[in-house]
Amino acid sequence: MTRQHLRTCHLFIFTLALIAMLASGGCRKRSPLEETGPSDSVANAYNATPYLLTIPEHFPVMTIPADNPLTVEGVTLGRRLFFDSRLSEGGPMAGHACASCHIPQQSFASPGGGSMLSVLPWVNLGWNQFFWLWGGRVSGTLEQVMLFEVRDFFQVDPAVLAQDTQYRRMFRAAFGTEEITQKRIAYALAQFARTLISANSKYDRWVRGEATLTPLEQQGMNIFFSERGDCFHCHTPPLFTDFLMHNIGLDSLPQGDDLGYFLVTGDSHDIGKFRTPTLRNLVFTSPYMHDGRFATLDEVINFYSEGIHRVPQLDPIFAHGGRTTPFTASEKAALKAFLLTLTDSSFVQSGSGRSLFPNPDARPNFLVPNH
Amino acid sequence: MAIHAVATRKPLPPHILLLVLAFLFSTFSTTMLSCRKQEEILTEGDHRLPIWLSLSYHVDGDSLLFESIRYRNEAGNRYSVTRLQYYLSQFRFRIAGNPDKWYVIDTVFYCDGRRWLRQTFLLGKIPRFRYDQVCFFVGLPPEWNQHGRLPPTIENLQMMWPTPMGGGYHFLKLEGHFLARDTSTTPQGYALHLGTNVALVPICVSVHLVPNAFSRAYGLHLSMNIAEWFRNPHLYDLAEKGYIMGDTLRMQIIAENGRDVFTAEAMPSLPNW
Ligand code: HEC
Ligand code: HEC
Repeated sequence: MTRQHLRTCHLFIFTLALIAMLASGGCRKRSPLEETGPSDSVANAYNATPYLLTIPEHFPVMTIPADNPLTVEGVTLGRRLFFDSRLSEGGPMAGHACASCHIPQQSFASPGGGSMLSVLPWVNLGWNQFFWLWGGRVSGTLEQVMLFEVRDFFQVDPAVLAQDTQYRRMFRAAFGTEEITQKRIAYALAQFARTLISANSKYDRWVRGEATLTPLEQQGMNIFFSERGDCFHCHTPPLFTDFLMHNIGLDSLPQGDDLGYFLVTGDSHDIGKFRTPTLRNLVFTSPYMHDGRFATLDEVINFYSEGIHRVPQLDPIFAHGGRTTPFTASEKAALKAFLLTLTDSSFVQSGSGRSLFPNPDARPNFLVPNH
Repeated sequence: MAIHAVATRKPLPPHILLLVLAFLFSTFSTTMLSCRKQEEILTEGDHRLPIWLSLSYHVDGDSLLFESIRYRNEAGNRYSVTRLQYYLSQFRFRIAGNPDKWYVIDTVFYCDGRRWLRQTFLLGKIPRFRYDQVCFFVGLPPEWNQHGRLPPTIENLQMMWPTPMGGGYHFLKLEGHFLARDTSTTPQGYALHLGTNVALVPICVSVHLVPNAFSRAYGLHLSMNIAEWFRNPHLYDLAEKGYIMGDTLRMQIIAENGRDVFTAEAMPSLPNW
C-alpha cells in the first residue's frame, strides 16, 4: 500500500465518522438541562432497609445526597460509631468518642473551654448545605464535614474498628462491604446526624397551634421578627440559622481565632465572620459565641443591644439606623423569654435513651461511652 | 514501522467502498429529512416551546463584582454589593402585532446573583408565536405573597417576611457596604429589602422573541443594572437611610426606581450548558 492509499483510507474513515456523527446527532433535541441521572446509588447494590425520616411539617425539605441514602443499618452503625471511643485510638483525640463533647443530654454540645472553641450542637444538621464549624472551615454537605472530623480531627484508624467482627458485619449491612474506610465511617455518622431533628420546642408547638405563648414571649417574638431586633434575618426559623458567615461586630480589632472566616479565605472582607449558630436549645449550650465569651443569655442580649462594634466588615443588617437606641430592660426580658421558647426538652431527653433508640428493649449495651 | 504495518492490510476494493458510502449517504439524508418534517409540524400556536431565561448583572456596564466598594451612585455614595436575592414572577409575553394577547407563565423564580453569577433556567413553555414585549414582577403578586405559599425550601424560608411586619416574602434583598462621601473612611452597611404588596416592582421590556429553529426553544436574556436601583425617578442617598425594611415610603421609592433595572435581549442561540 502506498502513501496515497493510506491517505484515501484516512479520508474514508474520517468521512465515515462525520456521517455517523451527523446521522446520530443531527436531529437530537438539545436539552440544555439534560440531567445527569442519579449516580448509581450504593443502596441498589445490596439490601439495606430505607430509613423513613419524618420531616416536621413546618420544616424545609432535606436534601440527602444520592451516594449516601438513609438506611436503618447506616443510622444504627452511625449511632454506634458516635459513642465509640475506639474511633480516636492512636490519634490526637485518643480517649474521646464524638459523644464525649457532643453530649446528647446537652443538645449534643458541651461547654468547651481551654483553647477549644465552644462545642457546636448536633441539632438539625441535616439541613445545612452551606458552611460548617464556627469559622466556616468546611463548606458543603454533612458528609464533607463528617469526613473532615474523621480524617483530620480524629484521624480515625479504620484498622482498629476492623478488629471487631460486629463492626465488620454492621458495615456490610450498611454499605454492602466489610471493608471499613474513613469515608464509610463518616457517611454512617452523617446518616445518624440526619436523624437528630429538634422540632418540638414550645415555639414549634405554637407554630402547630398546640401551645400559646405568654405575653412576654409574644413581645420577644415581635422584637425578634421585626426591624427592632432583626434577629430573623440570620437566625431564620424554623432552623434558627441561615448556615452562612457573618460579622456581628464582636471585636473592634479581631485577633487570632477571632479572625474567623478570614483564616480560611485570607480575604480581608471575611475578617471576624462566623457561621450563624442555631438558637435552639440555648439553655443547654452556654457559654455563648464561638469562644464562649458570654456566660449568659443576658450578656448576649446586652451585646446585641449596646455592644456591637461598627467594624468595616459588620454585616449590613446591623449597620442600619433601625435600632439607634438600645433595647429597654423590658425588651431584653422579652427577647430572652422568646429565646427560651426554643428549648426542646424532648430532643435532649431522647439523648439519654428514649427516641434515640426507638425500641428500648433492643437497646444494645455498647452504647455506653467508654469513659 | 507504522507504514509497514498498515501496508500488510488489504486495501478495500473500490466498489465496496462506494457501496458503503452510498448506504451511509442514504441514512444521512433520511435523518435530515425527518428533521425537517418535524419542523414543519410546528405551525404557529400549535405547539408550546420551552423558553429559557438567563440572568446577568452589571453596574452601568461593568459586570458586577461582589464585596468590592468600587461603584458610585448619583448621590455620591461609593458602594459594594454583598447580597442580591430576589424573586421574579408572573412572566407575561405579548404576541407581536396583537397588543391585547398575552401569554402568562404564573410561576415564581428565586434568583441569587451571588450564588449563580449567570443563572439560567427554564421559565416554562409558551405557544409558538412571535412576541414583542415581556412583562414580569420583581417580587410576588399578592396571591403568591402569603405566608407558607411557596414550598419550604431553605431559600424560600430565608426570604420569609415576618408576620409581625405584614407576612409573605422578601421580594428583594440588596445589601452591601458604602462610603457616604468621598471623604468618608469607615464603610457602613446598607440593606435594601423590599416586601409587602406596596413594594412590588412591575417591569416591562421590549424584546423581539422568536423561537430558535435549531433548538426549537426561545431564549431570553435579562440583564440587571444595579445602578438603576439608586436613581430614576428618585435619587437615593444611602447615607440618609440604608435600611428600609418596614419603611413603606422608602420601599416604594426603591420599588419605583426598580422598574427600569432590567434590559432584555433575545438569545439567538442557547448557550452551551
Ligand atoms: C474534644 C471535643 C470534641 C470531640 C471529641 C468531638 N467534637 Fe465535634 N466539635 C467540637 C468543637 C469544639 C466544635 C466546634 C469547632 C469549630 O467550629 O472549629 C465541633 C464541631 C463539630 C461539627 C460541626 C457542627 C456545625 O454545626 O458546624 C461536627 C459535624 C462535629 N463536630 C462532628 C464531630 C464528630 C463526627 C466527632 C467524632 C468523630 C466529634 N465531632 C468529636 C468538639 C468536639
Ligand atoms: C447578621 C447575622 C445575625 C443577626 C442579625 C443576629 N445574629 Fe445572633 N449570631 C450570629 C452569628 C454569626 C453568631 C456567632 C458569632 C460568633 O460566635 O462569633 C451569633 C450568635 C448568637 C448567639 C449565641 C449562640 C451560641 O450558641 O453561642 C445568640 C444567643 C444570638 N446570636 C442571638 C441573636 C439575637 C437575639 C439576635 C437579634 C437581636 C441576633 N442573634 C441577630 C448572626 C446573627
